[in-house]
Amino acid sequence: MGTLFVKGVSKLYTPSDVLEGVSILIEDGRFRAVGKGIEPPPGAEVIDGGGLAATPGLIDPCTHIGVYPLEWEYGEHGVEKSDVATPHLRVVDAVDPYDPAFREARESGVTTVGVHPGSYMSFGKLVDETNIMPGTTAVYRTDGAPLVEEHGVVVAMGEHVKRFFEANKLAPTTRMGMAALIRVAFRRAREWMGKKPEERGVDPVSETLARVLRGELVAYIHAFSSRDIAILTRLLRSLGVERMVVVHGAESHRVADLLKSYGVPVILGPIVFSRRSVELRELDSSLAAKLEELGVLFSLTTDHPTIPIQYLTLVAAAAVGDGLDPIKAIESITLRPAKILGLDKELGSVEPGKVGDLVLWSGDPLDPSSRVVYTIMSGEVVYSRGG
Amino acid sequence: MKAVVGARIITVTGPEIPEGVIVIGDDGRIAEVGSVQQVRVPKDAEVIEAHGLIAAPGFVDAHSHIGVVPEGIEWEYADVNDFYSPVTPHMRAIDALDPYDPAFTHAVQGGVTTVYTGPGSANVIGGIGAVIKTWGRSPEDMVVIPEAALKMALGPKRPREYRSKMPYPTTRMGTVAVLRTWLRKAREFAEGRLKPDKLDEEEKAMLEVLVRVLRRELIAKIHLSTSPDEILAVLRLIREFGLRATIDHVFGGHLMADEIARSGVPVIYGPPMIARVAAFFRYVDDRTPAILYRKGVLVSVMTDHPVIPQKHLRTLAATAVKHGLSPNEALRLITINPAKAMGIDDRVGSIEPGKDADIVLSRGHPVKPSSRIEKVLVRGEVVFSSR
Repeated sequence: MGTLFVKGVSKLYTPSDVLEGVSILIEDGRFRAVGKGIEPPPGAEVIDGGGLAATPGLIDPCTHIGVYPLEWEYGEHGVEKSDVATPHLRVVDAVDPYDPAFREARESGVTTVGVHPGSYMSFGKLVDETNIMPGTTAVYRTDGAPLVEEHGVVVAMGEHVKRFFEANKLAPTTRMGMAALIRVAFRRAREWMGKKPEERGVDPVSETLARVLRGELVAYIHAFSSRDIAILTRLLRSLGVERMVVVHGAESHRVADLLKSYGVPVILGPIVFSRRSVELRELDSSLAAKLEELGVLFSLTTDHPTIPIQYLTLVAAAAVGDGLDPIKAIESITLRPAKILGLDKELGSVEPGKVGDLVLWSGDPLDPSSRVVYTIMSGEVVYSRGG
Repeated sequence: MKAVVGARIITVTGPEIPEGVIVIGDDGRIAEVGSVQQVRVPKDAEVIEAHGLIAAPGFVDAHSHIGVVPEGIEWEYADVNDFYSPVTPHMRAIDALDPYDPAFTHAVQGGVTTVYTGPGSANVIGGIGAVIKTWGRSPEDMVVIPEAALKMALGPKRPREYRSKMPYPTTRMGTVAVLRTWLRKAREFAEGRLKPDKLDEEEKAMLEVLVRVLRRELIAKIHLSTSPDEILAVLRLIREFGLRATIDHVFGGHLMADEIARSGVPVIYGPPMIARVAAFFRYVDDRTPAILYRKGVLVSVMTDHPVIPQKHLRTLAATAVKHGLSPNEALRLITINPAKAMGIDDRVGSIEPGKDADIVLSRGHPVKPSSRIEKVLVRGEVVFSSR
């Protein structure tokens, strides 16, 4: 890996501080130095940052990139219908690295994405489906390489699950039945953990849930209504699950105190989307400012392909239009998702020692007139405008 | 009398005024527009202080279903598609409009002041849509044109399980054939070859509407699904019957930009930002509006509310900025262009004397989603003020 020197950017959003006229040195894939008065080492590739704004590589922690290819002809890609709970399915085993969305992500400054099994949301309800535990999530670099093969387990509750089960005549059919099923699955996993290794046999479901209980995997709670968020956070905490993240969370502002008391952050959105079901009634771009005011840690998401990944900055801009501070909005697509993923030691801000993911913009990153001029991943230019 | 004083005015149809005055008459119309030097603020005028803000015309959405299908509620209140028959020109959206739909409040907050709202696309001829304001002193006061356009919809139709009056066509060519047959019948009827005494009252009611379309009194608002061949089919129909038409959705329109430009037919693209996951979305490309704009096509963008919530119309215009239009060009896609397409540009779509005083005051350019909308006026009334 080489040495890259970005000379004198007009504005660097670290993201929490805005620094003017600083240079950025990236060596061996990591930020080495940030500041005024640093010089390029001999042999370094130099990019003139004059007139450009810089941010860390953008992060969308919940997408379905690679799971639903652009033109699928038939087949269910994100949800198994063979069972009502399939936490042992690994999304990493079914991500198409040639999905053009990876390229569109790089062109839009997105360098890291979470990839979740389960459904994306669609205005047409046909594909809006998921079982209770559709599988494990992964974290990908947008060059198509997995960064964390198994990052969390999706646990879903709400209209989408009920509708999917009803359409496929699957049971249980109530939330109490689904909760009972989750409780039993985790109980089996506990029992499995208590066995001697040689007596455990092949039990991929328990093995996966044991990793959740040990805190190695995050429980991603896919829920919209305050009711479903409350049901699942309380249930999982009572079963001993420590690491929980709410995804979507259209009514998370209603359960802010509960989320804060459990230390559960929210991957919010997509906040620009059809409120096409009862549980989405309160979905709005003003929710970001509301959660900020309530002190709940959140990040934003496109839920690609629900909203195409290239519009991540527009989604953040819409949050600003409805009252969120612009710096917080940039944080919510960089540092905050890194924190929520537990990867903020490596990603999410421009600081010496962190992975050298940097985006250079022709202007304010949240302005639709601005263009990505360079996307740099681990110190390598992976996209340049007109290049 | 009122006067908006000090804003930078984007008139849309004329030059920008860096620091201007808009005088609003008691009739709710714009009386005078000009710079602070040129225009004297009348003594008795109530002054709306707007220094540091940008004034733009209220946004116009030429394709919405607001008030006809509510957000987040099931079919009991969804009244856009009636499976009575594939041909229902005698149905009117205005007869099913809920003036208390909360989406109207959100629309106003998002600067959307005038919308066309109408029937859906389940039928070949769906019914008559209306042009309405998103705010009024009374439900009646909201209505601008109760019968503005007749919705027609190309593309294959889903066979319905209802006992419908006529069978539904299931192919793209079948749909075109139904449409052509009814337009020919209407021509026979108009020219006296189809005697009224030979027809029952329902048939007469249907044909009378179609005759108004043939006479260009009603706009033929023609929905396309996603197949570019439908663009050619619709252009043929428009020529064959001399229709005054708009082509709606126009996915894949960038592939036939020259044909569309030559026809002179206005098009309404979108909605942008939707998931492109299905084989039939392979031609969906949000660059379409920018490409058509450059070809001189009268192009607008739509929310297709509730597909994308009504308030996000300007965020959808921002996607065209992402794809190459300037913010002022993109503003035309949600102001004067849809106004012209719907034949209401004598009343809305720009800031000019004589037009309705529908005005959006924002901090920053209105098509930048991060710009806060501070005030919205409909017919001179301040109907929204940010806190």
